[in-house]
Amino acid sequence: MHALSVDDFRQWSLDLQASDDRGFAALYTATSPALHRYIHSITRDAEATNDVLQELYVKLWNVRTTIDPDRSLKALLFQMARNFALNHERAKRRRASDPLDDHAEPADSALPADALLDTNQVEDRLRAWIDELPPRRREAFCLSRFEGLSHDEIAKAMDLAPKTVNNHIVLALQTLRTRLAEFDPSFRLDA
Amino acid sequence: MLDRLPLDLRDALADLPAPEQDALARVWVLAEAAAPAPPPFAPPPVEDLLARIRPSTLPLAHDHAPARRARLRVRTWARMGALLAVAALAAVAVTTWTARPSAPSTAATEVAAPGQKRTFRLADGSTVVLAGGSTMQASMGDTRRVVLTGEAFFDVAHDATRPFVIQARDVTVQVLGTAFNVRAVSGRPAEVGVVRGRVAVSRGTDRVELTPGEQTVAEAARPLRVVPTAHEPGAWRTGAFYAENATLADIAAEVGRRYGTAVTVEPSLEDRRWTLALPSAPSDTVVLDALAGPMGLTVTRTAEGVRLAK
Repeated sequence: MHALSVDDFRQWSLDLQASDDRGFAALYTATSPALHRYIHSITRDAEATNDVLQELYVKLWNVRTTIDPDRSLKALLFQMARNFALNHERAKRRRASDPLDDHAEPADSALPADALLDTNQVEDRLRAWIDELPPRRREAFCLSRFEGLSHDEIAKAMDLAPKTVNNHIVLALQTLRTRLAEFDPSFRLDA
Repeated sequence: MLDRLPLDLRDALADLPAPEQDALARVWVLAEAAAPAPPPFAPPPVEDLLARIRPSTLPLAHDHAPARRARLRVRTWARMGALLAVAALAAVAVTTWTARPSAPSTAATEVAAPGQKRTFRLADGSTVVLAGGSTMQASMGDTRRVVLTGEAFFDVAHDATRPFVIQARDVTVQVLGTAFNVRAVSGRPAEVGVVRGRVAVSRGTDRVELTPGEQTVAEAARPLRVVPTAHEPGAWRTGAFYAENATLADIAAEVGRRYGTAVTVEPSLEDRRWTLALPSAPSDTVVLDALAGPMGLTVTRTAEGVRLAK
């Protein structure tokens, strides 16, 4: 979403208000890959991710007349993605705790452990360390680093104080820096 | 290194010692290539989503004249239920339509005041986006008839047994299932441009057929001609403002219709011609600035509106 401007989102808000389904289709095409990644990072499940993604956009269409073009549609999309994905997870856990339901599966882990054994590539290491961050910290960091959200947008999406978002991202960077230094002391991080 | 950080991250790091800031900035840069693996499958195609919303593509509550509401109510209760759900979201708008006087049930008149843009669905399922300063009468009988003054974008529901015909100034547009724009503003030849499908435009015995990417401008005393469209017909719906070699008087009139701003032009300038291509013009200021700067005009705003002068 790095390439999308505030004006793009504003125009899509106006399209939604005008019930313009072509504008809506353009919004979906432009934003669904990032929300798809985000939802998948929470559900880690293909079917659930696609279900949640579609529910989110259908809901957005249903409330289109209440969209305020002066507020961040981008933050709203991520906020809805997060809430829908977490609701889905809660529903799954409820089903899982039901003793009559015997095929609740655990979420598959992001990377198979042995995918890392034979590589010392820094990127792969970093990817694994990012994955090991506490969930909310990882989430805030990924939204900032890889989806280009501002700290305010992350605060709105995750329902956190902006200060807390700052802390998560700085702490994530500090953790990664420590891991890098342990992995290869020659990384001259203090240079 | 610090200059590669987003501004709010730079602010968040500002209180740390400088070497630490640099180290963390370096981690940030290294992490660029370490995005989590994307899901091993793609999002569903957009068509799936559109199929889920299209059945409920209903008019906004304030977009409907009571006459056609009544017909909708008779036609399909399911739709009405969904309509009420939308109406409940817009309680203020609901009051507006219930308070409106009733219109004759045979032909509903729709008006978009200058500065407005209205989207609604006709009883046959066709969608119309009516531009500011435009009026339209629709009667949905064996032949679906629309009389248009101003500009509108049509997405017509396919029904081979009921022709859809639009009267716009001196031309008749016959629709063969399709999406297209009709412009019939006073003082200008009628224009029809097609986005999808096919329409036939006729004037007297003269007749042309248009396919996507084609338009016709019905100039007085000349046969109808088919020419390529310069911009996507109906781009005004999404906030674009286009004028092709238009007189200042015509552009001023268009600003009036679109934004509800009365624009007067110094008489000696009325016939000056200009071309504007603004993909996004959310306010009259954007248009007036794009006009005034290059043409060396002064823009004076008064209580009555805007005056353009040398």
